[in-house]
Amino acid sequence: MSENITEKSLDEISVTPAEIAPSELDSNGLLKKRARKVSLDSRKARAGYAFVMPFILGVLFIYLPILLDSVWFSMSELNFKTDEYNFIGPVYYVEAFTKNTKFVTNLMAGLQQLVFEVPAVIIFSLFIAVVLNQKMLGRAAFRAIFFLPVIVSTGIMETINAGDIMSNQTQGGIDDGSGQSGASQIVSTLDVERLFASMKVGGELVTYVVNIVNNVYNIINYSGVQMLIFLAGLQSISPSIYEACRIDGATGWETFWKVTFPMISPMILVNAVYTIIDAFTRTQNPMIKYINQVYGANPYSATAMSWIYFGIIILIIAAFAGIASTFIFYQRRD
Amino acid sequence: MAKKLRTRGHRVVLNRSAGGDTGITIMLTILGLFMFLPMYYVVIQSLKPLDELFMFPPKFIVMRPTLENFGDLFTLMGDSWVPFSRYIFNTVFITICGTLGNLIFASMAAYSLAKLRFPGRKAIFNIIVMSLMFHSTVNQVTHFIILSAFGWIDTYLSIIVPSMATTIGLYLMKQFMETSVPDTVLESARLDGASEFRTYLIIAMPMVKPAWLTLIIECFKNLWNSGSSIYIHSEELKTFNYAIQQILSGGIARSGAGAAATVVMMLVPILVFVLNQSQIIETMGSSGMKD
Repeated sequence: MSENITEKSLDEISVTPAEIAPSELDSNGLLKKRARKVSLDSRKARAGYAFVMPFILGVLFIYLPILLDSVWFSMSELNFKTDEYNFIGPVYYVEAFTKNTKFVTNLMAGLQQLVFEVPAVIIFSLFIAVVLNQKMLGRAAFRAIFFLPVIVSTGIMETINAGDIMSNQTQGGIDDGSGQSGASQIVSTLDVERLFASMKVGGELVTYVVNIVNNVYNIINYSGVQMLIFLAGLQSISPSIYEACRIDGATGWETFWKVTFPMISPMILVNAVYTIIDAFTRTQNPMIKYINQVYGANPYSATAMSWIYFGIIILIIAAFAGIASTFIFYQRRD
Repeated sequence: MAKKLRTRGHRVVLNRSAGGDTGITIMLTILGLFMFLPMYYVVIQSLKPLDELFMFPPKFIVMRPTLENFGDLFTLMGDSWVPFSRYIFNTVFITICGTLGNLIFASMAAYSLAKLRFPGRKAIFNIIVMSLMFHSTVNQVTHFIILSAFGWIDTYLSIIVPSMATTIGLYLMKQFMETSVPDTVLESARLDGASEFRTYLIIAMPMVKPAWLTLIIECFKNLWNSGSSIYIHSEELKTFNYAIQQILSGGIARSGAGAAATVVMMLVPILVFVLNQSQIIETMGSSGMKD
């Protein structure tokens, strides 16, 4: 509200000098006057458009054509005789759900993985970031070490021998044989089930925990960037707030929940979106694997499937962002 | 130790106990060791002579450390058809251009979308984020068609330009601009006569330094690791990563050189990370609001 008022008053200020200067109102005075009368709002808007221009251009000229082409591609078929694409309508979209037996299964597997991964990654990376943000001995070294898996697990390291090394080192572990997740099973499902059964909790929770424990290595691997984003977020919380807390006698626990957590909440949204995209688009994702596999045989069908997949991702992200934004605390500093 | 920690620094977590400090350090050390192990193993592997490389079960110590593997790697590099420095140049060039471009465009767009009021900015933001999100292998055909329409196939542009715009870069920068740049500071800069670009560069950017340092790491890491691309077929334009993969396709006899190559490839991102993070620690005091 206050912002609007200041903008208005600025507007008036910028208009008045143009009207006071009558000496410049000759033959092309009208033009000049019009040029000067550009309000602050539209000047701001112009700057705004100029700043996003590279992105808009990129989207308009590179990404949107790609997307449109790909929609068209997914609804067409190559006629080998005439060497032309024929439009056949959303046949492959319908087929994916009705005829394809693997599509839905893989989709569900991907979604299930997501449900496990997102909370685990966010909690882990927030925890590590909060711990690493404190003043402590060897903080820089610890940060570097916790970011290492991200470097180690991408690109060439993955393709050469990091993978072999990981599996060699981890698979000789406690529960051998059924390691499906790349890393081995650290805890035997039976043990955990027994533990939970004795605690009288439901079966879903058991599978959830077992899944997380067995994927601990992957979760740590996937949380490097999220950890950095949280760290950057923690860095930008003003120290004076903590000082005020200390003076008022808040405990560390209270300070975390009343100050750190609300202040970091916008970054939780960023990280959730990042994790969702990361989980959905990495090559180990069952759906991506399947799409890639189909792509070799039938690129049209694969494109159609990936559009469906994309639609689902967008829906999930939009739903999440919608729910999260009601809880997010944006600091007001006016 | 704990006593010293409690008094030093201006952002110490409150009511710290010596027990908690030790507990955290121990936990971090254990977790850290767990993460450090693979890294250590890669380095150790590169120092092992060939016979030790294939020992079973694998060992965490080298009995006869040797630099032979690195020597092998450089010999193999010397044999390549295109001078090896060219591959390295390609990777460095692509990485630097892509990272810088991403940083500039993402932060400018984010500044504008977060801090400037103009009609349609929400719609623009949504369109950009959505279209950039859809970037998978399945787009390859159409991507190729567009790039070839621009005449960018087999040029650096085919890799650099698409990598200049990333969803997460824009998203991250926008979120940080929204949370940690106060409107009042920007307003006062404008009142003092700073142009919009100046306000962005001199006022807003230093305030979100942690964010763009993070963006640099992420972007650098991705581009540094980019391997072969279907948009590039001239040998002179291919990356270091690709060349190393070619060397390694030689099989078991080259696994020593492979381990050495892994270490070389890993060293640079780690170095960038460490330098970068030392900057982050120096940042702060950005929020100069006294109200």
